[in-house]
Amino acid sequence: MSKTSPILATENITKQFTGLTAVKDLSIEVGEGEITSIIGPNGAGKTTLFNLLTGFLKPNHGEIHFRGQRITGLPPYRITRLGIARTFQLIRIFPKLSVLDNIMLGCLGLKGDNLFYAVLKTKEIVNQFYRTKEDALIILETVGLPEFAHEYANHLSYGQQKLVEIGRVLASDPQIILLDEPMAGLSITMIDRMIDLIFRLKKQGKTIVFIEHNLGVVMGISERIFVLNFGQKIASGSPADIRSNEEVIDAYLGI
Amino acid sequence: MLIQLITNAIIAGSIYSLIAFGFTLIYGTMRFFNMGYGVTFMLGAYLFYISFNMLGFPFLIALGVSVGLTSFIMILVDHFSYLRLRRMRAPSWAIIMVSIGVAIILESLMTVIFGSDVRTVRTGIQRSYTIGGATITPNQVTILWVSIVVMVFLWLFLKKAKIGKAIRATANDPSMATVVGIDTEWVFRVVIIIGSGLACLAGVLVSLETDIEPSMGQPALLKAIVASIIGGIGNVRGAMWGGFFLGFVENFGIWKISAGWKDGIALALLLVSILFKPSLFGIEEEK
Amino acid sequence: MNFFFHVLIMCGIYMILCLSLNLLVGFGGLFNVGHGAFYGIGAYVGALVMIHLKLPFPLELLMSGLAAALFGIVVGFPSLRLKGDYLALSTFGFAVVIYTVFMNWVPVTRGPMGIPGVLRPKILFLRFDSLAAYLVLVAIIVAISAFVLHRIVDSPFGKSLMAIREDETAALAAGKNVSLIKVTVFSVGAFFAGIAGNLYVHYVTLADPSAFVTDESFLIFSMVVFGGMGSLRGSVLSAFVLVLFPEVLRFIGIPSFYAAQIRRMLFGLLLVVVILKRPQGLLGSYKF
Repeated sequence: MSKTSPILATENITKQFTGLTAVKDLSIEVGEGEITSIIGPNGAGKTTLFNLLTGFLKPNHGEIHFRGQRITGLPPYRITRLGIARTFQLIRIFPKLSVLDNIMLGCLGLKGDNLFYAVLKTKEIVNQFYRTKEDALIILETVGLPEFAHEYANHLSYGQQKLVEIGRVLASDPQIILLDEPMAGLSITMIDRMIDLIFRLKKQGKTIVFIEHNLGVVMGISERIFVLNFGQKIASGSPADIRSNEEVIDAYLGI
Repeated sequence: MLIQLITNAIIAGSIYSLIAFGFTLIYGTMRFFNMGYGVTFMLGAYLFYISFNMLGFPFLIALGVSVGLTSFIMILVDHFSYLRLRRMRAPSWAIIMVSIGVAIILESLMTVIFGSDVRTVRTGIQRSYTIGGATITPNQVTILWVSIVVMVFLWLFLKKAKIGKAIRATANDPSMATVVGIDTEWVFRVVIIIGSGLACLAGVLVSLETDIEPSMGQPALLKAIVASIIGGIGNVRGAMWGGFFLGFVENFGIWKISAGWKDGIALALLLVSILFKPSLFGIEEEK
Repeated sequence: MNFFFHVLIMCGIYMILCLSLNLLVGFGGLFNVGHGAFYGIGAYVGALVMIHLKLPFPLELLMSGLAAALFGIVVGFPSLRLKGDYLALSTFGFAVVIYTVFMNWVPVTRGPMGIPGVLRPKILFLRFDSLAAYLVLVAIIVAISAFVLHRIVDSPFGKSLMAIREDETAALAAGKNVSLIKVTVFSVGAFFAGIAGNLYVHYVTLADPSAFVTDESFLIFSMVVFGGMGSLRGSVLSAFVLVLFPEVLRFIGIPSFYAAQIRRMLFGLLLVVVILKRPQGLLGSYKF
């Protein structure tokens, strides 16, 4: 575990719904530039954690910090603009827009997002458009879907749509990428592609956090693992630590 | 004076409850805001007019014919339009807009056939009674007891009868209902029949007191919507209370405000409430 | 010849109405079933400003648009919290309330009698009294509106709007301020409807509530569906065809009463048939 301060950290966050405490007193730290994974049985609170981190849910108690800055309670779009981007467990893309559009929509800070500039359509806006398009095409190459640029997103296969969603995430040039079950539903080839992509992103200096049930992948590529059960952290450490942890084994076998 | 207002409120309320019952039953079971509910009400009144006044059938037969025909027509409409949309898994706005289309078509059809002038259902000159300071006509008494009896009966039916339970199961969770062997399309048809029957009945009862015209469905729809939402959308008991509540608000309201504002005020109040606290009315918020 | 001008002027007004509603419904997926209310607000504000404030026409036109836009913001807020059905319901309710105000707020709107004397406008020394001249004015404003709306939908802002239509949560995650965009779009759509209302009231020289019944909102909606949701060209074409057809009926001598009902039936049929058989309309691509 790196000695420098974590890039993303939660302090004792709790999220309660009527009759259910989804996340309880949870404190985790994500190291910058590392590959971190969150695992645990179903209903352990993993996706709730992601929702809390990205502003889709507000914690009842506790704080969340990004590079030391307090981000608790910020709305999702602000968190994305700060540099934390996510994918969803059940992929969320824009089905009736083209793949290229899907990716370009991830781009932040465009002048053309402002209504007045959009109508004026200055040279700057036109140039920005072409640059955004170029960047999106490069991302398409990165995720391996260059031939689908102008296809409707809902015409692609499930695995390909997952890559489109990741493409959108990459378009916002995030510092932290949160992937919710990136391997779910993918074929072996696609899983390899995904792993390859994750390593390439790490090489670019990005921090990756992912929720995953595929323990083979988790053990294979994670630098640090957090294990959740019933909304609480029951273990954390390197793959070796987790593999031999009694509580973790119980939690998984007990289901 | 007060007694008269209360009496008027209860009579109006009983009609509003009837239509709110039907409207909310349909929404609760089918998740369908039936914007064609108003014309069902109008259709019922006109079919009764044709049977009773034009063809001379006895009262009860005319009533039966109009209820039967109204339900039948609405089943046909459902079969050729809403059913198709359900099969296509169309978004809810599509179904609402088609129901608006149906309402427009039926209303303009009736206007072409009958003209936009009013018709009166002749039941002879009525002697009104005075009870405890309030004047009431036999027709109004009829409206009152028929509405209440029908609603109580249907309420018990929904609670106790096998079909009633099937309806409530479907309303609660349609996919689960299918799993336990309920044919949801069949349930929908039953609900349409009951709902249309109620609208028709309300239309007939109203025609005993007021002249009918093709556009009478529009205010009826508004009342049904307002009363249903006040009572908590999808909640049948709530809708019934909502109907009476609306009756009271309107009758006590016009004391101070002129009649024209009546409809608008109720609706405006409702809108503001939905805006600020949708959960009060059982409306799920986004996110 | 006058008939020809009349039809084209009405076509132009409805083009603006359809284009602006399409922005909301077709591109944004925001189900506004009460667009006629903004139309009416623009009309009444225009009439009142002209008669009582006597401002120059361009300023008056702008005020119609802004007044409507203001209400667009008011109506836009429920859209943030309410699911599709309820949004349709509350916009419908809004239209009923506005109509009720037009009919009953007699001291201001003169109720069912309406506000007469809304003269044809003049800009500096140009008078737009004749039909031909008025048509030119309408055509220019239609062109400007269409141009602005086209720029909007073609921009990153427009794409964000369509993203919201497709998946609001994903749009949020992609960094879009969904609430701001929705409210903005409501006010822009309302703005143009208000402009159309102003053009209408100067054309018929009377602000009259019967032109803004809830039916009107349904009519405009069915025009948008027919032309194609998400297609600006479709809205232009649809407005042209669907204004022309009923006027032709009247021209060939069908009595006004029947023509009006046939027109209504046509719009009702359009709503039903198009949604059932060809939801994308003429030129749209938005299917389900």
